[in-house]
Amino acid sequence: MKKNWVGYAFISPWIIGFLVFTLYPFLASFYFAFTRYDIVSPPHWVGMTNYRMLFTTDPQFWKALGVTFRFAACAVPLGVVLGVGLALLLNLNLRGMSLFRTIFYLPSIVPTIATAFVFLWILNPEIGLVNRLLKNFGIEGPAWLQDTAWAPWSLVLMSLWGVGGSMVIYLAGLKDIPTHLYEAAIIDGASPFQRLRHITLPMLTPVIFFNVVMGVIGAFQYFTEAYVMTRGGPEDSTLFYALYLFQRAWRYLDMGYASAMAWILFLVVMVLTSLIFRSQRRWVHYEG
Amino acid sequence: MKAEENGTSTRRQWIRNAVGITAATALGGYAAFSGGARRIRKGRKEVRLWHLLGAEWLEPVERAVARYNESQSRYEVVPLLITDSEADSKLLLSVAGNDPPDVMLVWTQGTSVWGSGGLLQPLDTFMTPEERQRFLTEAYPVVRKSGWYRGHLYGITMGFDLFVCYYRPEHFREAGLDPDRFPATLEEVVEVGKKLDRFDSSKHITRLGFLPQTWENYVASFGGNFYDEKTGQVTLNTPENLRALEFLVETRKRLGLNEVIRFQSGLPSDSGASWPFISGTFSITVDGEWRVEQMRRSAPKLEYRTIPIPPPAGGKSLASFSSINYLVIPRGARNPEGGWEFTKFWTGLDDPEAAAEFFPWYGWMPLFPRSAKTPVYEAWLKTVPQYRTFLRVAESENIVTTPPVPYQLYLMDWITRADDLAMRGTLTPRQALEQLEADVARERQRRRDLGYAE
Repeated sequence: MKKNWVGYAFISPWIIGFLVFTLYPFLASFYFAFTRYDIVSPPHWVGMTNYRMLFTTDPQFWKALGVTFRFAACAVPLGVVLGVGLALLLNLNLRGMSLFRTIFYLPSIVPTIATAFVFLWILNPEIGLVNRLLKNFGIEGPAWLQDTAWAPWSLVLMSLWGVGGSMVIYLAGLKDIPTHLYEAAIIDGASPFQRLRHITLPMLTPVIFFNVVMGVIGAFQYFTEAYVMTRGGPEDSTLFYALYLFQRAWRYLDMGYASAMAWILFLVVMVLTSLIFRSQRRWVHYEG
Repeated sequence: MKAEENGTSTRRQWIRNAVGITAATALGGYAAFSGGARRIRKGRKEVRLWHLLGAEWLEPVERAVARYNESQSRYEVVPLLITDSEADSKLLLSVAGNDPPDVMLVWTQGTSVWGSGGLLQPLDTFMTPEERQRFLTEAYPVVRKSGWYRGHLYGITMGFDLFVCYYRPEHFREAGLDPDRFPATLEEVVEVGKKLDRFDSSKHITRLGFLPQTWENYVASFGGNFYDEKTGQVTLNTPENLRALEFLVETRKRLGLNEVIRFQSGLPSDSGASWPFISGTFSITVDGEWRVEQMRRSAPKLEYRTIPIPPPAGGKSLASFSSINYLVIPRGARNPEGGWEFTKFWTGLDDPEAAAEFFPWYGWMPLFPRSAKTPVYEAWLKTVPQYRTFLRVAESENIVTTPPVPYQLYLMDWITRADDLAMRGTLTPRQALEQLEADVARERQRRRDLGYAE
């Protein structure tokens, strides 16, 4: 320990930051979840009341949970399919491929807020790009973000805009697949589809697994786009869990209630992640 | 041994360098971020003012602050612009962190929420008996009633919004109507609006004659309210409130929800000269008093008129909803007395005549009719005669504001939600109000169970 103190001194900013800004709030929120707390007055112990109310008397809680589950169920698989698909296309040995890779990756590094504002215009029913394009084909596009039926799908569509981030990881995974497997398959007369089905996808499953886990966690924390673009509307159709939690905490000064919500979210994500981990034995193939 | 010494010496040098670089970075950062701090004149106490008045309002605020700083030698007000979206959380965190401003201008209609939560200091405790008397007898009715919670004043009005009809006379003439004879009832305004509507070849709206929107803006005209001052109870599902909502829904049906959404989403922002009323996209619209000054600056030659919202049959005249800008003094303020002194100066509580000059700078309503009768205010009114309509409405008792209950932010969010549900046709107006009442009752019960103040 004495020998390493210089090393500890150098990483102390991170250690202090972690203790003060992550570990302490994490533990404190566990306590606040059992209190009535408005951040200004001292917390007042209320036992399980916050949890009881969330489960028994708060329809918004269930609504928010449902919206988030539906979003995760759509956005994560679509993100995987599109990410893998793009990576396969960008893995071809064609001229100028590095340029295409850059182009597809670029959207994922644009700040979320900027993307949200761009999409507010793109999805504008009257002057937006999407509806103008549709109009060229004689299709009257929907009101996207103002339409109860379309608003959640608009956000799913928008989430695919940032698929370049996971695509790069898939691409790295594809590069990692040993070429001798393909060579052997070609000698055996395997068609391109068979090679994809029996070599590429199985060998890519560890990367897909990683992206699914990260995608599910990200989907349950979905906030910024909904906060900027829809504020949970129309008619609560985009009332994501994190958005409702934020409203309860910062608008209605119900930090105790919001802390209980945060812990439920934590448990939901933990359960889902562990289920995905348990399922990996059936579909994830590791080399060797 | 020597190698060990060398190693120790190199390590020491390393640490010295690391400490030096860290200290230099910290000092550099401090210098960079403290560069904008204003110097406090000797012998004065600093008063930190946080406000939300950016863009064209920033310069007038700084002018008012400079005027105050020159008017006395005890305090130095230092204004800081806070963005609207983060103002509430900044206030909350500053109080929690025990470093709040000494006075803050807020827009959120949440003084009861913050007052009941202990975020704000009651301003009535700073008032002298004379100031209290002046405030309660001389201020406009809506001003003297607003900002109170459980007998304490947690926010003092600094400008308040009222809503009246704006209309374009040339559209009336073009449609063969007499602009000097504006309809006397709300129902007649709807009929006139139909004559002023314009559509393109695809039957999409290009100009909206009149489309009443936002339930809260019409509740007062129908004789409704969201709060009963006598009983101290929230009133939601009342016949008057229902009539107001039904009126809005019926009028919307004429054009169709999707068509209205489409039309509105194609409108530009409503700031400066972009406001669609200026471009002629609306013929009659209900909007607030700040538009008058906006149009004086952005479209000085535009012909337009204002008139109080005509009452519906059996309704109330000179009625409006009002949202209010409040000056508040947060708990834990280092210099609340200084904050209060500036508040009195800026609002005109200590001298309504002297403060009169500030309000035209923003195009805001003063707190006292006396301010509006000063030569400086009269001179401004001559340049914007349309503003007199707002002063007439301000004298009225038929003004509805956000109920002073500790869950008022929740309440207003749910009122907006009920409005939306009814307008979209998801629920009938009656169902929307029944659901609103049930939702609010459930929230109140939840708060009771958690031990929050009622």
